Amino acid sequence: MTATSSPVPDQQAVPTPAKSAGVSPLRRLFSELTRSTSGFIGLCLVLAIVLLSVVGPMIVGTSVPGDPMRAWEAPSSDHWLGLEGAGKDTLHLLIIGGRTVLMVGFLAATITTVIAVAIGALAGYFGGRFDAIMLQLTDIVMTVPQIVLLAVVGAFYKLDSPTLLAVIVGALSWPVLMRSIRAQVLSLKEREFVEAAQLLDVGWARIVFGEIVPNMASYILINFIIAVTNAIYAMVGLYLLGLAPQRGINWGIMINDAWTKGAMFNPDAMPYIIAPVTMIVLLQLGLILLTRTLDEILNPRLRDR
Amino acid sequence: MPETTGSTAPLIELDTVSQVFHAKGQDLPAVSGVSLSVDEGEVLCLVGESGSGKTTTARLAAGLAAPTGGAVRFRGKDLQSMTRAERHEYRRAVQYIHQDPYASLNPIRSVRSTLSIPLRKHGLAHSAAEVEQRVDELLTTVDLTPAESYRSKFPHQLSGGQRQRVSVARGLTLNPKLLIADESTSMLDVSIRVSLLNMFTRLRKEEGVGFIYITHDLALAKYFAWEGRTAVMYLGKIVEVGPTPQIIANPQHPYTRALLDAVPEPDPELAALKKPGGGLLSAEIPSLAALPSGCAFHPRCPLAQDRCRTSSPQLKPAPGAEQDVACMVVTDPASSEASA
Amino acid sequence: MPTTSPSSTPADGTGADGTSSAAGSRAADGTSTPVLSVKDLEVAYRTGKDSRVRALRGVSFDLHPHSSLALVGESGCGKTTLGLALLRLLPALGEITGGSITFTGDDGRAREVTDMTASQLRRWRWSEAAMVFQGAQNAFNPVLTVGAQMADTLRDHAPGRIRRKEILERSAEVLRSVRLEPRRVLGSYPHELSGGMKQRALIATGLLMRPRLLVLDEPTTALDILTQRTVIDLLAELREEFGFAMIFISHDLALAAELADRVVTMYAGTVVETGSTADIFSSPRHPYTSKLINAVPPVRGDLAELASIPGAPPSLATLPPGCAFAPRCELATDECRTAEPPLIPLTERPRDMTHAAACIHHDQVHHERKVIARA
Repeated sequence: MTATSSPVPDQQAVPTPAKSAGVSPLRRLFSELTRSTSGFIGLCLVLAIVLLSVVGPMIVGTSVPGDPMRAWEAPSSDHWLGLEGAGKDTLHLLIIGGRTVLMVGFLAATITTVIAVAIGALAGYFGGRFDAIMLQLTDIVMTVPQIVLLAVVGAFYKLDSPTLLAVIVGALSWPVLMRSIRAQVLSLKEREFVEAAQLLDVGWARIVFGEIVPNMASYILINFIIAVTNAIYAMVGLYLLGLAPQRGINWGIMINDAWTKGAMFNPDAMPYIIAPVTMIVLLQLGLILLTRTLDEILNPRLRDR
Repeated sequence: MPETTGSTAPLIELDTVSQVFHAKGQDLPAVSGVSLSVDEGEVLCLVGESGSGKTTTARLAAGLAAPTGGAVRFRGKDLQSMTRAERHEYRRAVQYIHQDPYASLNPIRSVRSTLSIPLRKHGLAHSAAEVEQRVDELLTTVDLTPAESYRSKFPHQLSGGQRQRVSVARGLTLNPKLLIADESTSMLDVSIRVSLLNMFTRLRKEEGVGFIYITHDLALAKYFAWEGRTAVMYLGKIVEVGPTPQIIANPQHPYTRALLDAVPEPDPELAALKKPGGGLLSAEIPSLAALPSGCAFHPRCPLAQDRCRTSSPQLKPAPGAEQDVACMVVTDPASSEASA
Repeated sequence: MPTTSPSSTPADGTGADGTSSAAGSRAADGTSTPVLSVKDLEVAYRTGKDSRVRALRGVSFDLHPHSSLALVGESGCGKTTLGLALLRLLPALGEITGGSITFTGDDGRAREVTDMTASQLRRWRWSEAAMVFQGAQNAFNPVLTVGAQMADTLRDHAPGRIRRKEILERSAEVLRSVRLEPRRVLGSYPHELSGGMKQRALIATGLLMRPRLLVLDEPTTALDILTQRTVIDLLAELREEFGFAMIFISHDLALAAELADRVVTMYAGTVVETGSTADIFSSPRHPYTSKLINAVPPVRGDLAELASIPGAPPSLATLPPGCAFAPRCELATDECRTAEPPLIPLTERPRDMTHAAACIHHDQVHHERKVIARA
C-alpha cells in the first residue's frame, strides 16, 4: 500500500512463504521454537525436568527408605548421587523434590498472571475511579516485603502447605505485570477495532477479554514464564533461609537440609548440595531461554517479517 | 420507512451540535453549530480538509462521542436521554465504517469470527449453521466471493481493499439503517475505492441503507452523492450545503470553489485550463486554537471584505441557487457595496 | 505538461502531434540524448533460500531532459520497485538481475548506473539524481531540525568541503523556491510543520544539489486536496525553474494528466502501455489503462459511470501464462493466454513519445465514459 514509507515491495508483490498460511498459530509457534537453538534447548530442559518431576515419582515411589548408618555415602553404582545425612538416596529425593517446586512456581505464576491481567485490563479499559483505586492498591501491595510477610505468616500460622505458599507469593507479585498490562490496554483500547466492537454493542466483558486481551497473548505468555522463575526463586529462597516449614521433600528443603547439617564441610556430601542447585539452575535456565526465544518469535519489533 | 410507524422524524438529525475538545489548556472547537439530517436510503457527503470537523461530526452522528452542545437525535429521540432499549435500537441502526482498513480489524480474529460475534450477541443467528449461512451472505453482499475462500482468513492475509470489505460486512451484521463511512484520508487504490462506492450505492438502492460519506475529494462526492446532498465544512462549520449536482455545477462559497478547482482532473485538456493556486490566498488551514475573527475563512478568501473580519456569516439560502451558503459576500451582496 | 505552458490550449493537446509546446521545442535545441535510458531492466526479490520472484520484467523506456514521465498502476504493479531500482535504492532482498540503466549527465558523458560502485553511487545520488520518497510524514528524522538534515545532505553529496554560510544560502534558496519561509522552516523540527509543508521541504531537499533527474514516489497521496493542488502546481513551476527531468510514481491517473508529458502504465512488473499523456488519455490502447482511467472520477462535466477493475493484480510468484492481465480482461482470447504480447508500436511520435501497447486486441479497446446524468 501507499501508506507505508518503507521502500519495500507491496504486499501482494512478494508472497509470504506458503507454509505460514493455514497452519494453526500454536503449531507454527512450536515449529519456530524448535528451529532456534536456544529455544530448542530451553524447551528440552523444561520438558525434561517437568517429565522427571511429574512422571518420575510414579515410577520410583514417593517413600524413600533411609539407613542412618550409611549417611553421606559417596556415589556408587547403586546410588548414583550417593546418600544424604539420613542415609536416603539423593537421586530418589531429587526426583520427588521437583514436584513441589514446579507446582508452587506454576500456581503462583498463574495466580499472579490472572490477577494482573484481570485488574490491569479492566483498570486500563474503564479508567476513572476504578483505575485510580487499583493503582493505589498496587502501590500498597508493592511496598509489602514478601519475605518478611512470609516469615510472619509462617510464624503465626502453620505454613505447612506449599499451596498456601504459592497463593501468598502469587497474591503479592502481580502489581508490576498489572501496571504494564494496564499501559498496553490504554493504547490498545484506542485502536479502531475496539471502537468497532463498541459500535456493535457486544458488551464490555467481550471487548476487554475477547478483543483486547488476546492481542497481548504473547506478552502475557512471556510474563507468565518470568513469573514462574520468580516464584521459584522466591520459594527456594524461603526454604533456604528456613523461613518456610521444613516438611516434605523438595529441592529448597534439600539445600537447607544440607546447609543446616553441615554438609558444606563434608566432601562426601557434595552431590547432595550440588544436585538440587543444578536442577534449579537448569530449570531456570530453560525457562529463561524459552522466554527469550518466545520474545524473539512473538515480539513484532524483534521479528523480521 | 418500515418499522417506524407514525414517526416523521428523520433517522438521524444533528441539531446545532458543537464539540469542543480541550488540549494543553486550550479549547479547540472542532465542530460548532452544525445541523444536518439523513433518512433511510438517503446519502449525504461531508467534504472538507483535515481539520474541517467532518470526521468529528460523523462521530457525533455515530454516537462515538457526546456533543458538548446541541443534540443528536435518532428518530426524534435525543441520544443523551435514551432508554436502554432505545439505545439498543439506535446502536443496531447506525454503524460507522472506519477509514483505516489496517487498524479497524482485530488482527487475531478470522473473518468468520469477526462477523459471527455481533450476529450471536444480538441473536440474529443461533445455530452454527445459521451463523455460517449469514456470514456467507454478508461476504457475498460485499463481493467477497466465493465466501468459503475468505471465511477463515485473518486480516494479515487480506489486501487493503479486501479488509475494507470485511469491515463493511461487519458494519452490516446488524442490518443497519444508516452507514457512516469515513474515507477522509483513504490511501486505497482508486479502483478499490470506486468498487466500494458502487457497492454502497447498491446497498442504498436495494436495501434502503442511508449513508453519510466523508471525503476530501469533491469528485468522489459528486459520484456517490449525486442523488443526495453534500455539505462542505470548514473549521467546524458548514459553509455550503445543498443538492450535490448544484454544489458541483454551481458552487457559491469561495471555499467550495477552491476545493473544486483543486481536484486533479483525469483529462489533460481540462487540467490545462485550470488556474494555479486554486484561487486561495494561503494553502495552510488556520489552527482551531486560534480561529480567525469574523468569518474563519477570510484570511484565505479571495473575496474577503472588511466586514468578513468582524462579523461571522450565517448559513442562508444563496440567491439564484438551491443551496445554503455561509458567506455574506454571496448572500448579501447589496450591503457589500454599501460597506465598500 | 500543459500546466507548465500557459499558452497551450486544449486544441494542441489533442492534435495529430500528441506532444506539445515546452518539451517539444526544447528537443529541437539538440539535447536529444536521454537523461535516463532504461533497457530490459529486470529486478528480482529473494523470498527464500532459493526462491525469487521477478518484480520487474523487461522494462525499457527513455527519459529526455526536462520531460516528465508518470509511472502508473495499482499497488503491487512494480512501479515503486522501478523507482527504487533506477536509483539503486532497492531493499536488501531486491536485486537488479538484468538490463541496463544509462544516465547521461550535464557533461554529456553516459554512465551505467548498474555498474556504479558504492562511492560512485554516493556521489551520483542527490547531486545528479534525487528521489523524494512517499510518506512525507516519516521521511524526515524526527529528532533533527529540517535545516540540519538539509545540511547533512549537502555535506554528504557536495564535491569537496562546503562552508556553513554556503549551506545556509543554498538551503534557503531551495526552500524559497518551494514557497517556504527559510527562517521558519530551517530551525523547525519535522513535527512542527504541516503535512504539506513537510512534503515541500522534502522536495526542496531533493533539489538541493540541482539534480538532472528527480524521482517522486506518490508525492501527493497522503495530502489534503488543497495541499495536493499546491504541490502539483509547485512541481510544474519547479520543473521550469530548475529544468530537471521528472519521473513520478502514482496510482492516481488524474495526477498524471496534470503533470506528465508521458505516461507509462505498469502491470505485474512490466510495461503494458506507453505514450504521450494526450494519446493515453484520449485513446488508451491497453484495456488495463482504459479501465484505470475510467476508475478516476472527474469533477467537471456530466456524471459518468465509474467502473472498478474486477479481480486483483496477480501474485508475481504465480503469474499466469501469456498476458498477465488476461484473467481480468473481457477482451481476452485463447491467444492471450498462451503468449505474453510484446509492446506493439501504434502511433509514431517524435522523441520517444510513440504510443505503444502490449495488447494484441488493441484495436478493440473502445475507450469512453458512460454518462449517467447530465450536469
